[in-house]
Amino acid sequence: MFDLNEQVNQWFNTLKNARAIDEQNIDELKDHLFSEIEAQIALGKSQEEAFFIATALLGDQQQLKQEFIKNKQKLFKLCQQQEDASFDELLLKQEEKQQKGLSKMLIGNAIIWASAMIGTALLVKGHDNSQSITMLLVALWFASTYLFGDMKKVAKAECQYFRKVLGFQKT
Amino acid sequence: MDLPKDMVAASATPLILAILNNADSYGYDIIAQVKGLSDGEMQWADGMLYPIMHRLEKKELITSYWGQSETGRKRKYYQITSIGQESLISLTNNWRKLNDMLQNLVGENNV
Repeated sequence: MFDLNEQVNQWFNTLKNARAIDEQNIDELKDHLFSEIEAQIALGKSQEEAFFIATALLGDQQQLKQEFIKNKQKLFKLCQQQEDASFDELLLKQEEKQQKGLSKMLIGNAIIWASAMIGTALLVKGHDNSQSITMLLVALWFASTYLFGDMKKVAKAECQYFRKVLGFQKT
Repeated sequence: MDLPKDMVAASATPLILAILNNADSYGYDIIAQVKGLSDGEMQWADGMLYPIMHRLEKKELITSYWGQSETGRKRKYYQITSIGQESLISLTNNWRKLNDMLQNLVGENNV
């Protein structure tokens, strides 16, 4: 038995996955398809025949997708030209690289502060204020570590933002 | 009438604007009107109309609103804006000028 609604939904499923076509576009195209189907049925065609004629008239899904992509911004087009998945992979790799780089900077930062502390401790040994100076250095080290941690968070958020804009959040 | 692709593309905007200048309409009806006007000779791949409509909407030549079909389905209607009406006038003038030029060059005897 030919289930018209089921067939129509299936036909649109392939378009739904295209990021260039949103829910409202789908509703509009669905209205078009059903209008054509109704017109064909009025001409005496069966539901099945009407469905095949209407979808053929509407055009091939791939072509339709390409036409909708034309309306999008440059960055979006660029992504669509790449395979979606490979572009997402590229973004994730970039994020990983950034995070690794920042982790290295964090370690480097710790080493610099540690040497500064040891050096200063040796210099001010025996001085009245030696303890407060060391405490001050420790506090500064914490502050700079905190800032680096924030930078990591910001970098991660930035990458996530790009993925969201480009519609990669689903994975 | 076997129109080349670029002529179809160039004529789509003035045709759509002219149709909407008569009355608000929706995609399927616009295509049906074009088919009717050309005695079925001008065939658009139906789906291609919608991205064009969305571009015209972005350029603010037309606006859209959601309504319902006779059977209660969601339907997107389009309406021409004042910018669209101005554009329609200048586009129509351009086409007329081009047509005059061609007629003058070729001469009515030869066409």
